[in-house]
Amino acid sequence: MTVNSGKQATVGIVDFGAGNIGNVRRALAKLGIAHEVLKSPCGMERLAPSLLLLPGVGAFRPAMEALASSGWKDALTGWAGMGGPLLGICLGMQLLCDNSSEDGQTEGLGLVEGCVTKLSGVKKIPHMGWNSVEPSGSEFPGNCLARGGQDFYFVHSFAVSGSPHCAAVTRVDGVQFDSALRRGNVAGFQFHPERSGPEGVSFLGRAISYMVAEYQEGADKC
Amino acid sequence: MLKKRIIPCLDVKNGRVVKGINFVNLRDAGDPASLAGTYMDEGADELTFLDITASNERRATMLEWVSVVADAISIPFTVGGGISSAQDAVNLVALGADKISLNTAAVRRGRTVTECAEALGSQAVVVAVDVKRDGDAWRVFIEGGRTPTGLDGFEWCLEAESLGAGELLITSMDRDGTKEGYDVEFLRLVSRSVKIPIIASGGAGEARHALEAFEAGADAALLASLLHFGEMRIRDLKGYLTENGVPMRV
Repeated sequence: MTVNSGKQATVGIVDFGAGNIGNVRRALAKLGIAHEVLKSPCGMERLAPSLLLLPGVGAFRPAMEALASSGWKDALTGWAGMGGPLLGICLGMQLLCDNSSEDGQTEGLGLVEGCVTKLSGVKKIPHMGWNSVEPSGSEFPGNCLARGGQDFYFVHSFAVSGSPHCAAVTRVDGVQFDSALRRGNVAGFQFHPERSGPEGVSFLGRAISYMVAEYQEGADKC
Repeated sequence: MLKKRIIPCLDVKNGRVVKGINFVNLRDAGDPASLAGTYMDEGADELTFLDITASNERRATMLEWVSVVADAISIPFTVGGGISSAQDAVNLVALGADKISLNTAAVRRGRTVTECAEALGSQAVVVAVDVKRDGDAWRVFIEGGRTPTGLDGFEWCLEAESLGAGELLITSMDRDGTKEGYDVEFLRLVSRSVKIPIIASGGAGEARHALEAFEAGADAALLASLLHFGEMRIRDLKGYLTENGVPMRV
């Protein structure tokens, strides 16, 4: 596998057949970020992406099965293992974790420590709508959130909490969960920056630029 | 903290927004994408579109305007009107809609709700319930309010949740167009008994009405003519709600 070392970011959108990738594509188009939908890992050699984006909507277990059968599971762990920037959104973030209890216990990609469990103690499920995302620690990609938080659009029923790689937190009905995770070159957002208005789309652009730049700086030092 | 949502609702016929939109500085008041963009800029948290085109022409025109709207905005939107199968729903989501809303089809065949939820996840499935008060109860109407079903509104809301709805859009036909306020009694009744978000619709005439709906347990308030005719600006409405302790994205 080749990682694009040019200055212009090229995002590979991982299409494993689960989830709506159209609005992620639209957001990248608005940002003027070059991108391509990759239906299989075979497309990576040709595209030489500078970042892989893993979207996802739906349930954890069928998504992991689809990642495994399409070859993406091995490709993503290989990519992340060699330092390639990988960004998961919503279910895509959850898939980066160790496991999920949705439909029984299912193993995830294991790239970020954390367990996905049903949101409990909240009045309404799904947790749907705009909620504040507050950076936690110094790991938030690009440190590009306003201090005191910024509102993003959420829609999910399962969540991660207490991960050692938590980069931001969100609260609903007094329950706190991890709304962003980051472990080096791997990061994820539980919220949908691509559905969070122009500010959310800009934020996505900053996060991608930051992750790509950091990787390229690292590569330059080697 | 999770914010309460303000959702403008637009009726679309043959690809054009209908029911008099009266905005200043709007180049084309009938263009769904321009209006959607305007409402997004004004602070709408989501948008809902209801396609009221005659059924024989609806499918073709929907395919066009839905993807154009998706290109124009980056906030979630729901599409409803004549969706009768999971395949219809999947097609609309593939064009860029975040959620679809079922009404008549859900009542006629409850399994449709379940099939849509299985195909797209419950979060993408809104069940729209049109109710009219009948003594101490509320009755469900379908086909744009023209056809009584005899179904009990409260029972139907509970059933819709168990069939797989991720959200309920509750319209009071008694209040719709009256500007007398939402039917907070029904909203309170349903909100106490379901575990999914509910959207209040029908009757908003002033900012206080949205406050009442939220106090009754609604998670979102749908507004149409009040916003379309420029009688109220989203910014002002949100300002009022914030002052009154309702969590809002401002």
